[in-house]
Amino acid sequence: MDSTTAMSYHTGLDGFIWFVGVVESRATDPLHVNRCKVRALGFHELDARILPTDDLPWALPLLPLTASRTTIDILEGDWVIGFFLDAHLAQQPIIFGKLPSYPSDSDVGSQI
Amino acid sequence: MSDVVMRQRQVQLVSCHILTQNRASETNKYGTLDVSSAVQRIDLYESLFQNTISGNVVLTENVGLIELLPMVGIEYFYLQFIVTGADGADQTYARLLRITKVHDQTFIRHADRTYVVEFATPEFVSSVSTRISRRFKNMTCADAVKEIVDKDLHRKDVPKQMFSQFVSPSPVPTWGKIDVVIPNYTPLRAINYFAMLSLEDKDQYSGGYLFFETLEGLYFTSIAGMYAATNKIPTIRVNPVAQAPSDDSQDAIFRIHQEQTFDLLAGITSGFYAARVFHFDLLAQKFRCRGVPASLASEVDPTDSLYTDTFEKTKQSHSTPYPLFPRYFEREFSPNVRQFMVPTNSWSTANTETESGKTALDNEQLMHKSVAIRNRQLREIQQIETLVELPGQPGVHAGSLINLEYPMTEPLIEIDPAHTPHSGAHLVTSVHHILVIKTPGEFDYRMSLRVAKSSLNRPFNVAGT
Repeated sequence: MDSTTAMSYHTGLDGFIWFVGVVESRATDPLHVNRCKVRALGFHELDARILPTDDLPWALPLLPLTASRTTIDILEGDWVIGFFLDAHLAQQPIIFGKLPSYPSDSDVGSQI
Repeated sequence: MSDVVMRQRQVQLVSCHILTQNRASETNKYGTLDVSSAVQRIDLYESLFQNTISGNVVLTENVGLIELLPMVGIEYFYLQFIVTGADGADQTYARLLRITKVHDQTFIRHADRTYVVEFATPEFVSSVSTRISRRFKNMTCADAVKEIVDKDLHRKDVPKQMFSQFVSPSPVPTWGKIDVVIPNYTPLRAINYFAMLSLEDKDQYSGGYLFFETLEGLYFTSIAGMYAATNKIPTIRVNPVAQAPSDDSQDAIFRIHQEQTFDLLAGITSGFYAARVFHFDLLAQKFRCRGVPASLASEVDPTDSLYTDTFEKTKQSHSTPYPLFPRYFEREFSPNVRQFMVPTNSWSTANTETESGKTALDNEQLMHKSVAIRNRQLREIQQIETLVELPGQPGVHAGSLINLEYPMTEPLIEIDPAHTPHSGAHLVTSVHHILVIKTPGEFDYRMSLRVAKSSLNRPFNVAGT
């Protein structure tokens, strides 16, 4: 059997599966808890015709203990780091930080 | 009860060809080479716990196929053979397989060489060569599995009739709609993920779906569904008390070996006896705890695994003072030994502000809560396990039922020795088909079965229908 069936199904015991992703949308969260649509590189197809932004799972931002309970500072195009709460099943992404960046050629976008 | 008697079987090899693009012609994409005369032995494996069949063939030849055909990994192997059943009807099996490995070449004489050619199904090779990263939304798990088989496993460059097809009624319908983004899985891994989420349409607390292949085709069905099969099933009888004078079934059994009747320690650590599911919602900051089996639960669930219940029903029939699965046995063990902790998916793609979104969410939560019961059902079919070697029997495949009657002549307590407690319907969990050359074109056919005692939906000591 493969790793899906060999999982222990105990949050925290099935490994820490982290990812680098790109924020593609942050405006339409129906729960208004600042969730974003994040394309996790290597997990989600880069071709938006196969996996459109709307089809991406919601990623929940992890807030710092010392900051506001409601505000986050993320923009479309930001690169973020996160992990999947459900490990290899990868349905429940949580993002906990964004990466700094510097200006680069405009045509170097989501695909290198 | 069926009385289909086991007899020695012979197999007629109809076709055994290697298909290779190296020998392609203007009219045929693949050139073919008949290797029937070189075949010494064929092994085929099928199992509930493997998604596709696999196997190997032993060839002896003196023309140097490996070097001169050559065999390099782009070849297919086409196999077709006929088995005559106990009722005299011929059963034909045909399968296209992909050659994956050639090994153990021995030069037995200066002219001859013998070697092993391993093969897998084209679907398996397609799976390891492909990845899925797309959304499956508003469909059942069974629909998702069918879509993956049709779109991702069946390659476009091979005629569809060469692939394995679902055997009716597979894919068996599942309950509830899913909304899942498959994260770059192989197609077979994605299917196994959907099998994990699958719940029976008629009983939403019963999961245990499996996707597997036999020589007949593909199956996507639940463990309980396999046990509930009502078709005629063959009998393997090694019980002299139950033996009719004209019955030669005992003589036809090569070997029977009961591997285990229970495993206490594996049962405890795997959560078979007692487990607990924590199901939590991060946004609502709430959790619920549910015990498995239901006797451990603080809340009463409508159904539980039927394993214990079935043992309960049989207490009056064979060993009232000493039941095989004592009542409340599980309370001896802490459910904390095996815990499952599964989050809700409320921040997933479901829009929980809409009624349909809330329903989708409820369905999804139920699918995840079923993980402990699925775990228990998978363990159940590894409790009472027996190995049986017998002449090849068409119609017996992984997932089918057989009647197995164990011998007992002087029972410890007063019971009917013709139907001992362990005797009865068993689920075939794996099959090893062994075809060994007898004369050119004719093979002796035997099979090695791994079977598990029926304990779901069928009285414990009643042998089939």
